[in-house]
Amino acid sequence: MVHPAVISVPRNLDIFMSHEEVSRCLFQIPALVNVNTSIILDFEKVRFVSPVGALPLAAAIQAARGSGKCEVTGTYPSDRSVERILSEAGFFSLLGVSERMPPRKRAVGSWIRHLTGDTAQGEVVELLKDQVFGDSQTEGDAISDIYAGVTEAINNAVEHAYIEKGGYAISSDFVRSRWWVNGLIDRSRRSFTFVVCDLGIGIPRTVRAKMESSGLSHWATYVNDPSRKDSDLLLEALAMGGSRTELPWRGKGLRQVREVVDKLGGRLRIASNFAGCSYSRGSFSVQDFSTPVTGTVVEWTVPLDAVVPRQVSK
Amino acid sequence: MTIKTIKIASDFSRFPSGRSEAIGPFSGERFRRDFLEPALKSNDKVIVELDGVLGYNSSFLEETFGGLIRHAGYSAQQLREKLEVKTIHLSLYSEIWKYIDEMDYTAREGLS
Repeated sequence: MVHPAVISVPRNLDIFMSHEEVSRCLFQIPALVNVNTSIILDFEKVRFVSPVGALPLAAAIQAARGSGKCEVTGTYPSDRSVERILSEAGFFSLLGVSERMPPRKRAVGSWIRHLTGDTAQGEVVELLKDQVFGDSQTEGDAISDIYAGVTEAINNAVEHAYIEKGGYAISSDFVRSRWWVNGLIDRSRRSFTFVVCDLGIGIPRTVRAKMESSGLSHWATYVNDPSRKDSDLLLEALAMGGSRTELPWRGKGLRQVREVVDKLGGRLRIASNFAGCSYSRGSFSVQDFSTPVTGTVVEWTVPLDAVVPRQVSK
Repeated sequence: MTIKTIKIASDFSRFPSGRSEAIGPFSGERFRRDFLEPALKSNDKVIVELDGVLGYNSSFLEETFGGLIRHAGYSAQQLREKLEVKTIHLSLYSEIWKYIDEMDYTAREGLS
């Protein structure tokens, strides 16, 4: 009998703050699944958890479990506040570990537990809204803006993210076309963060694959230029608004992903393959990673007051 | 003169999303093919009421309205005579007619 492997979850579970550590941790999961080895996630050292770290980990856990090849479980962290966060974020129920802490009635942060699907489902935005705001009235236009961005990110996951066979190491029916969503309301910072991720081939690789098959020689030359990094392609896709297919009416989705922060304020961050990109107030900044992200992670952080009237969110 | 009104929120879905039927049940392709095209074919005028849904994304809107030119053979001029879109959101109204005009231009120039 093969003993389960222990994966140490990094101190800062945030794909931008501790990119290398988080990516290495995430990469170990499918590698172990492929050799039918069960996994114990060791949360002992974790001190900080953000939605943009929690969601890719939740996705990797569900993908591993969905493969039917192994068990995944986990330990409690030593830090009680982290345990509470992991509990509220839904990790213990995901890992089949009993939750030791009762949910708080009123907390500074409210987590939206991960939601997942494999078709273009707009209902997820209503579920997200209901989990956070209950019956409170949210600003209608703000929810419409969030709806446009989140559903376009989901559509990209369903339609484009898994176009290349073997895009994810766990090639199971469960993973194909699948997306995940989670979020956090931070009342102390008065911000609302929501994240969409997939385990597909990533935006830079999607751009390369589409250009190679498009027959457009100038784009094929552009994407195949060896000096062209993933960050160039990610920035190109995000700044120009799409995946540059040969069809002129396509490629508006990423523009809407960006427009959420144009309209509501705040910041958009995307991590995909070897690239990270941040967008705020009309400006982009890019980051090159030495360890790739599996798939794509899209995070929006918008001012809470842009989404819900102040008296409701107190 | 026959007039048909389609309320997307109650007749179709409060959660319209996506371009093709292959990726979801409430796609632009399905709304255009099963609701809008038949209504345009059998009525002199069609009014589409957009409000009441949670939101729209560009994939749905482009496939629905730009798709009328691409797949059903209408021109922008014909759609201006037959189709009315109703919404309190001016930006949504403008976006739809932009997709129609862009697709009309694309079709006329043979770019599609």
